[in-house]
Amino acid sequence: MFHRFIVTALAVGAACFLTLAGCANRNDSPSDAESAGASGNAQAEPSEVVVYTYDAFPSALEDLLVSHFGDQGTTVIVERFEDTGGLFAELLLTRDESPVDVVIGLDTTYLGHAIREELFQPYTPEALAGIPEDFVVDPLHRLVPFDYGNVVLNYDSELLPEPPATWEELTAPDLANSIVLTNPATSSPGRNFLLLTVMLFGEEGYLDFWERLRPNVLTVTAGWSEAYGLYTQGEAPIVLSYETSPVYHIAFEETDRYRNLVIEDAGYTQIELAGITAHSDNVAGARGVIEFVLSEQFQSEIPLNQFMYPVRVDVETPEAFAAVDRPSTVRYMSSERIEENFDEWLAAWEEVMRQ
Amino acid sequence: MSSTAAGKGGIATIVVVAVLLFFLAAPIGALLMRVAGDGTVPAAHAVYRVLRFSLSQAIVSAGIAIVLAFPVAYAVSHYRFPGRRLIVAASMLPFVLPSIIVVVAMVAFFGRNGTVNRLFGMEANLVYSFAGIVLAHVYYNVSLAVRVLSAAWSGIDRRYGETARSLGDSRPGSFLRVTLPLLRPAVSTAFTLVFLYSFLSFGVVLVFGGVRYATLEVAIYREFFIDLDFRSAAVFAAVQLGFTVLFVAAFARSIHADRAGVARSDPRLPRLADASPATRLGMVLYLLIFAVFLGGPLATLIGRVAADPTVFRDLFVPRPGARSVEKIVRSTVPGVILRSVAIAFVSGTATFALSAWLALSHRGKGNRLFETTIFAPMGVSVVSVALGLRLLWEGIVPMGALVVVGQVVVTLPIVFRIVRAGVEELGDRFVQAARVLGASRFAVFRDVELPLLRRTFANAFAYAMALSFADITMVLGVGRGRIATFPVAIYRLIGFRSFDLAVALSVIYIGMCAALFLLIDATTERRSDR
Repeated sequence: MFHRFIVTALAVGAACFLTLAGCANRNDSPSDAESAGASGNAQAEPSEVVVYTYDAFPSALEDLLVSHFGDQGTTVIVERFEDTGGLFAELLLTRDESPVDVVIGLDTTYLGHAIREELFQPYTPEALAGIPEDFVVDPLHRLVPFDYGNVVLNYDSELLPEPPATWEELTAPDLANSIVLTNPATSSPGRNFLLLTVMLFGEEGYLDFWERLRPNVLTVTAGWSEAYGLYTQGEAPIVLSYETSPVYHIAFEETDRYRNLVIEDAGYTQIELAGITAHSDNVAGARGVIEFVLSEQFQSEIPLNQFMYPVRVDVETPEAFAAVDRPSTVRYMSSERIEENFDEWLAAWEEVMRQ
Repeated sequence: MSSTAAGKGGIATIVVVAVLLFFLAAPIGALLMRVAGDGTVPAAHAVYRVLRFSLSQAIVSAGIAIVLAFPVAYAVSHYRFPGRRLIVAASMLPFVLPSIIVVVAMVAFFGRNGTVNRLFGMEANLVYSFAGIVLAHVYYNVSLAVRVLSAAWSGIDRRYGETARSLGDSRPGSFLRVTLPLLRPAVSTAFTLVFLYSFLSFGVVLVFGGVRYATLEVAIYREFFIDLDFRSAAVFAAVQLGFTVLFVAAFARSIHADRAGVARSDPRLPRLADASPATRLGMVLYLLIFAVFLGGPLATLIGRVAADPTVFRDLFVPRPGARSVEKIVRSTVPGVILRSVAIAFVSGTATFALSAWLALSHRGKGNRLFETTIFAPMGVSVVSVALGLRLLWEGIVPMGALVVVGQVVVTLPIVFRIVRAGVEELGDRFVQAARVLGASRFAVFRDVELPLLRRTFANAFAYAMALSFADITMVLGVGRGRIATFPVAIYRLIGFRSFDLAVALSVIYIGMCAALFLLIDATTERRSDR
């Protein structure tokens, strides 16, 4: 009996294998390109633009990109990598061999390194004129901003009816083991929060602050997902996240239990960037994609899909966003200063947190 | 013994091992070529700190797992009692769960707001520390220790102990002087295996480790993907591989001494109900605590969604206004299930077939070099293999096939060990006898070995499938997010704050794994009892 099972298993296995191979192949080479091109849009030449992004990039935005350009006879192929780190490692590893034309979703963390490695080429999209200068972090426009949000703490109002209002109160002993943070070595919000403390307390003072904060930190997770998961499971009343995080719960779960905690009006502005790779072989198509990402149509889809703010000032944010607190100023550190000091700040911070 | 047959087997083995090493070494080589010269060399004290933590937590985890496993192994190997088979079959579950589910379940049960703390009205910090990592590793591996110890224990002739006692030795004395020495090889096997799995741990440490604790695999991941410091990553990877090979070479005998088979339900065993009241009470209490320890975290997850079963419907039919699962996961749930099963089936079949062939053709030839080589993949950083495979063959080999190749390479050591243990236990006297009587080699395999090894084979096949099921590194690393399997879907749901949906999907996953194990256990048990 059993050997028959093995033979059948092998046969079915082989069949599955071929099917799998078939699936992957189909995904690799979408045939829409030819059909769309053949359908005869006179001016638009059939072309292909390859976009790299991170895994969490909303599929609604991908669909919008693909369908918008599909109508014009351009095939947009979106490739996803595990996270921004994985995406950037891929860019460094494959350099000019990879087929990528446009990268969407690097944040300011990677700006300095990306520029040093000359991964991107300058392009000034028309829409840039309508974007506040504060957000334009690369004066040569190799990477342009498309959305932003402030990194702040969030709190669970059911577990913590009276949240701390000052940094002093945040470090008070009654909040022992109450905060879940993300690691500056492995996550963007964690890194930006560390930078915020350097900006607020100075290079001399930030370690003292962390020394006082340490007893209140329950754990430091590697990534945002784990931290936020612990928080929504009720493991800790305070978590490091974004100012817009409560919007999700308001819009999709109809609860205002989870709120943000803008302490002393301070947050670190995280800006997400997009750019055209230096070796792109379809620069015209890539420019089209960048223009579209900054168009009113795309920008107005960002808030409820990405839970970030659009960079265009003429795009309104949905009602649910009105409920969340916001720091009044844009605040971030220059990438030169970060490049120069971050490793030292991180090492000193790790020393403090390890104790 | 026919020398030509042995020679042929030897050459075949060499070929297979060479092919495997090629699939392992080529991607790593490709990766190293790309990154040569990039980055810095980590400070010696940083490497030392990571190594020290990897070693110390692995030793503590293995020690605790074995101590906890001892009484269960005793009960399983000495008594019949209701639920005995369930304990044995279900205890395989944690081992094949993706770490994200284990982490979620551990937090739900042992977390600050978890069941245990709420039950006792405490706020004890059980998971976010060194203790949490050890707890998770014990949770993962204790069933493995039970399996190894109970199989050995039921093989020990209890007349030794009885003789010692009839000669005047006390019960604890006979245990210490007679039983324990006889169990020593099994203890060493169990210790080595739990130690190795904990030493190479990744997912659990990534979440619970915080700033303070990182294993080598976590350090490799950080250097490679976060700091983009490829040379440092290579240093950590080399240290990890070096130490693994060292352990495997030193303990090759222990690793292969495991007899894989679970202690059979022997009708000659006394029933637990007939044991002395003290023994009965002690055993029942301990087994209950053990069942709660293993089952509690999963039960908490299941209880969570059982309270609101509509969440299962939401997995398939989106609730109006809510974000649909298809949008978040980028595949429908039936799609996830079918894809996972298809990949697991292909990958499991291939891994199993290779393992079986290697074990049969290598039977009776203990060779430290071979044993070390076949285990080398365990020490290789899985994320590095995934990335290397993609860099090397993407576009040439179809993506689905590449994922399967990666999974086969990294799961082979585990599956091979199971098959090999069964094959070695059977020995080759039946084969010799049948050959003498004129049966062809294939006929011997079909008519003699297969029926006798059915249980081992079924077990190994189930493991191979489940390990592929649980894999996330290869699927994401090679698949560029285009292939969504169970762990990928669960991870995406959690990332999108859809915690209850993630738990519901985890419960379906756990159900499928449990069904697989119970099915295999039920079919093989009944037939072999006949």
